[in-house]
Amino acid sequence: MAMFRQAARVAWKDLRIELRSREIVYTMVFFGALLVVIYSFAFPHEPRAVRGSVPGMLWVALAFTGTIGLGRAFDRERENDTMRALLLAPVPRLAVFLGKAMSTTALVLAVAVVCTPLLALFLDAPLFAYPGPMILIVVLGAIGISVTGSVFAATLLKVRSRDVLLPVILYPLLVPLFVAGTSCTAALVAEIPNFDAAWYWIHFLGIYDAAFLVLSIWVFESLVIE
Amino acid sequence: MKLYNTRAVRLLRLVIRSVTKAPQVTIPLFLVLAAIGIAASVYVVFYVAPLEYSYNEAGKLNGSSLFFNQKIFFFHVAHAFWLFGAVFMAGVSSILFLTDRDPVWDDIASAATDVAVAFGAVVLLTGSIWGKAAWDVWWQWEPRLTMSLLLWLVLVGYVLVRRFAGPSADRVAAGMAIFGMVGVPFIYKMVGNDSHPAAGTDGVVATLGPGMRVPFWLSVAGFLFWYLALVIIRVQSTIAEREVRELRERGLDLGVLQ
Amino acid sequence: MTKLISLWVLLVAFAGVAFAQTGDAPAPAPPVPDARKQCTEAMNADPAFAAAIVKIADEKAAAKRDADTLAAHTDAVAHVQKNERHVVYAYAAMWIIAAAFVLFLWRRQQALNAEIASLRRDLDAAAGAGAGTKERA
Repeated sequence: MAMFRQAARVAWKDLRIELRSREIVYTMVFFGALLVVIYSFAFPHEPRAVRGSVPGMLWVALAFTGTIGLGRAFDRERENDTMRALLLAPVPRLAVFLGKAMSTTALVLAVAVVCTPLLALFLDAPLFAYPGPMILIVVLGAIGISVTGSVFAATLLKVRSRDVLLPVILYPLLVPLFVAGTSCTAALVAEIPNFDAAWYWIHFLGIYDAAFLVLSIWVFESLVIE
Repeated sequence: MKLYNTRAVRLLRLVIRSVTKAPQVTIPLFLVLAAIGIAASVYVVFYVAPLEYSYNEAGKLNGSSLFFNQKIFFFHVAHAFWLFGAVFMAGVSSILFLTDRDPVWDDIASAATDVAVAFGAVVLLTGSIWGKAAWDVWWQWEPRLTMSLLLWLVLVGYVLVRRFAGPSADRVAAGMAIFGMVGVPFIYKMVGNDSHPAAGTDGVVATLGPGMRVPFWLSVAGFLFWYLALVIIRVQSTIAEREVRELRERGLDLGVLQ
Repeated sequence: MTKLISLWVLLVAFAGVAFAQTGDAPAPAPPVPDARKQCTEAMNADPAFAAAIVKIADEKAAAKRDADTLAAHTDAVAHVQKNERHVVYAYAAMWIIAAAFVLFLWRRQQALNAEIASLRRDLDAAAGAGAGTKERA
């Protein structure tokens, strides 16, 4: 439908700008890679410890880089004062919000695409043993981080100390997402993978994403006022 | 959706306004009710409720019985009850605030959250002490404690945002409260209570022995009045803050202040 | 002086330990006659004897049950007394947090009231002295 197409167009605008300068994606990916390297030094490498700590490492990397990406994406709008232009454009504001969420999802997924193989390489973790559920949970996680993050990053656009307030607001609200992600990943990399648990958490995250997406759509208009 | 014009919402707004605008009457009233309720519940908990212990199959005393420590349960859970009540109060109030921007909803949301932070601290501390008595460790990632901690983190984030986000803090905090409220069932499912998501009448209350239900509900009622009294007291602060802001603006307009 | 005493204590301790370990090994136990078989045959031979033994056994069992119950109750009392302090800690935590919160609210309210009063004073003074007068900020 039209709304979706307009949202896709907003997302494509962001991604095209990103592809030209590659500023955000380079910094996000490099930061994610740095985190993985630091984890490799910080935690022991024996297989049992690795299976226990790799899920957490992956999702912490996604959380931190997601926050950076969100902050930068909206900072760019504010610096160039294009937020007003976006809101004045003859597209419903919902399309703008959804477009921003979609482009942020793409950025977070780019980080995941780089960090997961790195983790698997440095720590010898069997992250790709079951790629189907793994891809599903990472995509759902990226969507959840981006949708909720976009709502609050847009709300905090003109607020002072927004850089530190975004994580303060976002992480407590996203705890179910991180628990679902890490539990599912842990179930998949365990010595005897627990597929029941993995699919339970995938369902859980799917419902969580749906609930927060609906909530964001309802609440977005009132929260973001230019 | 003209939510703010439905009869229920208008009635609610009327009740809240009348309660908060007459603090000389309502605060002492609720404090007296709270004192009576808490005193009654203390008496009933310590003198009427039976001691909790059991025998195992060999006829010996069950070493994991809590004995006297079980008394902590009554006011720990009463506080937890109103912690959740406060979260829903703040969430609903925030939704109403975002629909019609009436400051009264914002007052209620921020007051409820402040009191919820205090109650949450009580829940976590008494829960940890109870854990030390029951399992000999000061902290355990058991479902109820974990849930309370996560909820408490959301509430503390709300307080920080209100304090540091500048003029539009009420809007941002309202959004956070709504998301926090919607997240509660997910946190509930996440910590392993995957039975009924309704009010925990099968988890906690059902395992109470005979003779303990009345003290439990009595303490819940007593702390309800304490909670409401604290909320009303806290609302006075927000009203005073708004008055300060308005006076300052008037002073700036008149050129008296700078 | 202390060194001398400690040296003597050490020597006495060593001597005591050595003496305790050089006692004779216990004598081997004498062979046990088949007492159970003898007892059972005597019991079965005389019914009054059997009844007397059963009665004594029952009385002893009842006494043991009473003693066990008493011991269990004493145990429970000991447990309760040991556990009191946790309840006290929890209660203390609850009231301390409540008091701190009320104190925090009280001080905030007082500060706000003072500020309102001073602002009102300034505004009234300004209104009284006519518009445009620049008072202290």
